[in-house]
Amino acid sequence: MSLELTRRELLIALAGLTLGLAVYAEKANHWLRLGEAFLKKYPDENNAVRLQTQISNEKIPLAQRVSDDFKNGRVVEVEGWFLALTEARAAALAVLRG
Amino acid sequence: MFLEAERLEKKTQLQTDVCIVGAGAAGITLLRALAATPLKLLLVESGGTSPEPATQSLYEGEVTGKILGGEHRYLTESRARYFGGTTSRWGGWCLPLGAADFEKREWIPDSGWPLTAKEMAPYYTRACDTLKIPPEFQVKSERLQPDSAGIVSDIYRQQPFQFGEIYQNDLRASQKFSVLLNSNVIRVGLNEAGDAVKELDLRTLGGKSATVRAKVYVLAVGGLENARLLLSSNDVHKNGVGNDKDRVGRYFMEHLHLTVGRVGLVKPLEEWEPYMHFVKLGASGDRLLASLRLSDAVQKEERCLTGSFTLMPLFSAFAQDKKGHGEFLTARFRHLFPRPDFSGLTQKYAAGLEKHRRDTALFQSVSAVASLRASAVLHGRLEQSPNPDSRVSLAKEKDALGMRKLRLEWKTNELDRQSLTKTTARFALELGRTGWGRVQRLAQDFDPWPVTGGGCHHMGTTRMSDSPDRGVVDREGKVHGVKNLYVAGSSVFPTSGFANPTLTILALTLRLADRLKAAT
Repeated sequence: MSLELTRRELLIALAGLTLGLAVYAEKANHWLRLGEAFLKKYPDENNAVRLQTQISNEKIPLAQRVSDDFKNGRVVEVEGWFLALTEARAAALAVLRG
Repeated sequence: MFLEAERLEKKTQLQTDVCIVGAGAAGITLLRALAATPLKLLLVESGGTSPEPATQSLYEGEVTGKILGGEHRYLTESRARYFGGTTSRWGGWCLPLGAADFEKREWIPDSGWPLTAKEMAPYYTRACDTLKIPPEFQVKSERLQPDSAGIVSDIYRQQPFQFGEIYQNDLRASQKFSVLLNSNVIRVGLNEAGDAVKELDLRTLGGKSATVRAKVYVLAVGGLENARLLLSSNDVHKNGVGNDKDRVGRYFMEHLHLTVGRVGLVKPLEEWEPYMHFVKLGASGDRLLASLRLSDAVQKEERCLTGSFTLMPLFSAFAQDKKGHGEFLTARFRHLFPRPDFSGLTQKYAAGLEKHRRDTALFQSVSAVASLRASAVLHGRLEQSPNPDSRVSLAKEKDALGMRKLRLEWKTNELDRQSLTKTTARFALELGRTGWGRVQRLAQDFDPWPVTGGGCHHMGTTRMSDSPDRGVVDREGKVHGVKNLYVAGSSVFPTSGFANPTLTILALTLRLADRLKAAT
C-alpha cells in the first residue's frame, strides 16, 4: 500500500480542512455577533476593562456564576437568545478584545 | 343492529329510552356503557360507515377572524362525519388533564371546572381501559430529565383507536340497541314550556324525514356541532336551546400549536429522543412521549396559562411543510441556520486570555457551562384562555338539509399572548438554571401573534358550570333549564389544558353513563 497521497486524496483533505475552518469561523462569528448585539442593546456595558473585571475578578468559578445568574434572574435577551449576564458579557469582551 | 335512514317509512316516529346523537368517540362509548342496562337505546349518526363527500360537506361553513380567517377548510378537514367520527383521523395522543387544570386559577377569568381531578380519576382509568392502554402516566426512566422546581415532564401514551373500525362489527351484530345511519338531526324540539325535549327532527340527504321520541337525549356531535344544533333549534326559545344566558357557542378554544423558537442543548440530541417522538420508555417498554412544561407553582407565579413543549430536530421541522409549518419556519428561521455553538466563544477568546493564567480557567469554565452540542425546534402546545368572544354562531347561508351553516370566529386575547411570552422566557430561564441549554425565541413579545393553527381540538362551546349564568351544562352534562337533554364531548370543557382532549372526552362520557344509569 502506498503512503503517498493521490491528487484525489489531497483535494479531499483540502476540502475537509476548508470546511473545518469554515465551521470554526462560523462558530466564532456567531459568538461575536451575540457580543456585538449585546453591546448595541446595552451600550453602558461597552467598557473592556470593567467587563474583564466583572468576568474574571471573582473567586466564584465562572460556571457557578452563570448558573447563579439564571437562578437569580440575571438574564438578558440577545438576538432572541436568553443568556446569563455573565456569558453575554464574556461574548461582549471577546468583541472588544478583537 | 344497523338501520338505514333512507329506508324508513315516511314520517316514521322512532321511540326509545335514550337517544344518542353522533357516533364518534363519545357517542359510541356512551352506547357501549349503557348496553348492559335494560334501557332501549338508539344511536343516530349523520354518515354511513365510510366517508361520503355529500355528508362531509354538511360541515362546510364560514371561518372568520385573524387566526384562521378565510380558512374555511378548517371546518371540513378537522372533522370526519361518519360512523366513528373524527377518531378516524385521531393521532391517538393520550394524557389526562392535570389537577391544576380543573382548579380555579384566579388569574384566568372563567377558569375552574365544577369537577375535581380526584372525581375524574376513576373515569380516566376506565377511559384507559376503553382504549386498552395502562392508566399510568408517571414513568421512571433514566432517559427522562429529572423534574426540577421549575420544569416537569409529562408522559403521553399513543393509541390511535379508530372507534368506527374497531366497534362496527360488534355494534352491527348486537340486538340490544339500534344505530341509525345517514340520519341527520336538524332540530331539537322542546315542549311548549320549553323545559324538556319532546322530540328530535331527523332528515336524510335523500329527503326522508323522521322524528325520535325518547326519555333522555344526549348530543355528542362534536365540539362545534353541539353548539350549532342548540343554536339552530330556536323555534321555542328564540336564542336556541339552553341559550337563555347567551353562552351557547361562546368560549371556543383550540390548543395553540406553534413553533416558539429554537433550543440549544448541552446534551447531544440522542439523549433528548423521548422528547422528540414516541419511544420505548420505562420498565414496561411502552412507547411513550415526554413533554416539558413549567411546574404548577411557576405557572401560578407567572400568572400564565399552561402549555407543554416537545423538541423537533430542524430537519423534521422543515419536513412539516405540507402542514404549513415549513413555510412559516423558513421565514422565521432563515437567519438561524448557523448551528448555535457557544464553544465558539472559547476558541475566539483563547488568544486574548493566554497572557492571563487565571483567565485560562475562565476559558475552561465557559466551555463547560455553555458548550451546546445540539439544536432543535421548540414546539409548543399551549392552553387557550376561555374567551367569550371566541365563538361559534350561525351563518346566513343554509346547508343541503336547510340548516343554517356554522360560523366560527376563533379569537385569542391578551392573556394568551402574554402567557406565550412569559412561558417562553421562563422556560428559557429554567433551562439555563438546570444547565440543560439555552432558548432562542422567535420574536420579541410574539407580536404579531404567531399562531397559525391548532390541534383540531374544538372545545368549550357548551361549557360546564354549576351556574346557568356561566355555562350551558351542569356538572353532569345536563343542559341548564332542560330536564332531559345532555351534551357529551369536548364542547363541555370549561378550560382546555394542553392535553389532547379525547381521553378526557371518554372519561366524562363514562361518568355521564353512570349518572344516566342511576337516573333512569
